[in-house]
Amino acid sequence: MLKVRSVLQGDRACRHNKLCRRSFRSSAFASSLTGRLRRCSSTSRVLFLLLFLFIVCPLSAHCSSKDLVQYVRYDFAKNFDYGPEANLAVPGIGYGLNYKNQLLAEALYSSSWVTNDFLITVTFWPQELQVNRYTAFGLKTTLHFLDFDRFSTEQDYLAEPILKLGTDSFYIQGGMFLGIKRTAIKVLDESFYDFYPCYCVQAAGKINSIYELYGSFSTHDNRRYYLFSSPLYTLGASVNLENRAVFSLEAEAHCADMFTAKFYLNGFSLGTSLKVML
Amino acid sequence: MKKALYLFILILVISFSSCSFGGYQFAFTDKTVEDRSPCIQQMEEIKPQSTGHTKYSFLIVTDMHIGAARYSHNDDGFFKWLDKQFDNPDEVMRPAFVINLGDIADTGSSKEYKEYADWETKVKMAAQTKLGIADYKIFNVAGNHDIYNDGAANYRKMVYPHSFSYCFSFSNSSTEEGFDFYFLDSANGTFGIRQLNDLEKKFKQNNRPKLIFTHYPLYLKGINMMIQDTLERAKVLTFLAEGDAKLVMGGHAHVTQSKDFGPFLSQITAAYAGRNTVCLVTVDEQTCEVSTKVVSF
Repeated sequence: MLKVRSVLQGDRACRHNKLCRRSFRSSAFASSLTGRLRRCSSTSRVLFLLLFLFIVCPLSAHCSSKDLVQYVRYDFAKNFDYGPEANLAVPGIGYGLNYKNQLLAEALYSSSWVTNDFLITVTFWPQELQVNRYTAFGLKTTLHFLDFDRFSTEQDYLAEPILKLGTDSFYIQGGMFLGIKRTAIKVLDESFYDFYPCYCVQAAGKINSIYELYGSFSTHDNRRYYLFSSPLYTLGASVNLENRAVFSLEAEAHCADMFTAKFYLNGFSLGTSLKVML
Repeated sequence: MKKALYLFILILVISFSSCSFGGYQFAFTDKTVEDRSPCIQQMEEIKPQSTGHTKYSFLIVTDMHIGAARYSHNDDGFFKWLDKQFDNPDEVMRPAFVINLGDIADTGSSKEYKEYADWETKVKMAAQTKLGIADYKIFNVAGNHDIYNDGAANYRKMVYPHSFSYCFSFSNSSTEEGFDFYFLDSANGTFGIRQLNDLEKKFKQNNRPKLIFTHYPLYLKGINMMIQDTLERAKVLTFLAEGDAKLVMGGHAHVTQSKDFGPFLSQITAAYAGRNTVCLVTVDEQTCEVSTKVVSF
């Protein structure tokens, strides 16, 4: 009898959830969420970020375990006077988890006066593909959403098989495959797809247990996904604060079409990031 | 470990290299699009000679790569076709002027630009003989190859109208408003922030129909040989749609492709070099309609 009741209750709850989801989907609020975010004032944006943080923190407390490392990250980047995002300040917030260095997932939200970016990345390093102490294969998948002022929205889907060579103190990691970008130009009311090779090669070296230097060149970072081959060059340093937090500072340069055109610096930014372990 | 380090260095070296582009150019590169084209110059004095018809055609040539041995150059075939076109019984189909979409020279040397000047002279002579136009115009925009090896200085000195980014309003008939012609500098693979801002400003100033000519395409299906900063692309496509653009022409990719964006048509023309292709654009000032016809010679 008890079993029957719980099944019925579960069914009702499920139906209720479905209804809620349906009404949320059909609501005008959901359809114009990105528009609302874009139009909201700076105070509302800060409140939104704080709300996100307050949701994330209690959730993390429930699923803490020895093998699982969770963190929240706070980013801030300032663009210099180059390219379509000249002089923009871009704060961001994110949540990430690392399970035994085999599964790494991160969700990031960043926003400026004209852009809203949301990103989810999942990197999987299966134990079976760990060839030896120095070599490992993995897979990184990325989903990125951008809302760009009155101009466009973009969605990027990336799948990159990755190879890691080296030890914990110095390693090189590279991935290359295919990215799909869906762009919708708002005024044209039309969307189209770009298929592009994407790559990311990065090297990192630990000076000691606290300091680390890293550099990379790639077609993308957390927010921008350029078509092949407009690379991003990154150089940064990070400080590990007793495994409780990691502070990093990095410079990033973006070049327009490095394969066929002359060198042209299309973007330059300085960014900081603070990862706080939960 | 050493192998990994060598591999990393090799990849870095490859990433720094592009066609005719060495370490010196990377470190001490000369003027960029921001310096060359801080604004779109209004050049009303360079308008082509009007023929009085409301409907007319002009010719698009792109990617000549003069001096490149890797491409065949069928100049004889082109001039035979051009002579025939100038004799076309339908006056509308006779090209009233020529627009070259860049990559004129392969390495940016003055020798290559001299060779191009000879080619231009031959076109002008044919136009004078067949059409009786004394000052036949050939307008040019720069491509990425045109600025290699400090070729920008040679381009400015030797290629008409000696400007990288310019525009004019042209009406072939006395009764119609005509079109605005925009020639944009994308030789660095980008329009640059200043030129882009000026484009937005100029487009807002009037609502005449517009035709845009640039080397880098804004959109290409299947190949990434276009403006690769998608935010910049979104901005330009928005400006074109809002600014009553009718046509945007591009080259660079050496393939022919067209896409109808609704308010305007994007036409990419295959190369003159190797592909022996040109494009004839027909404009109707009365209806503001534009059509393109890709031709092989």
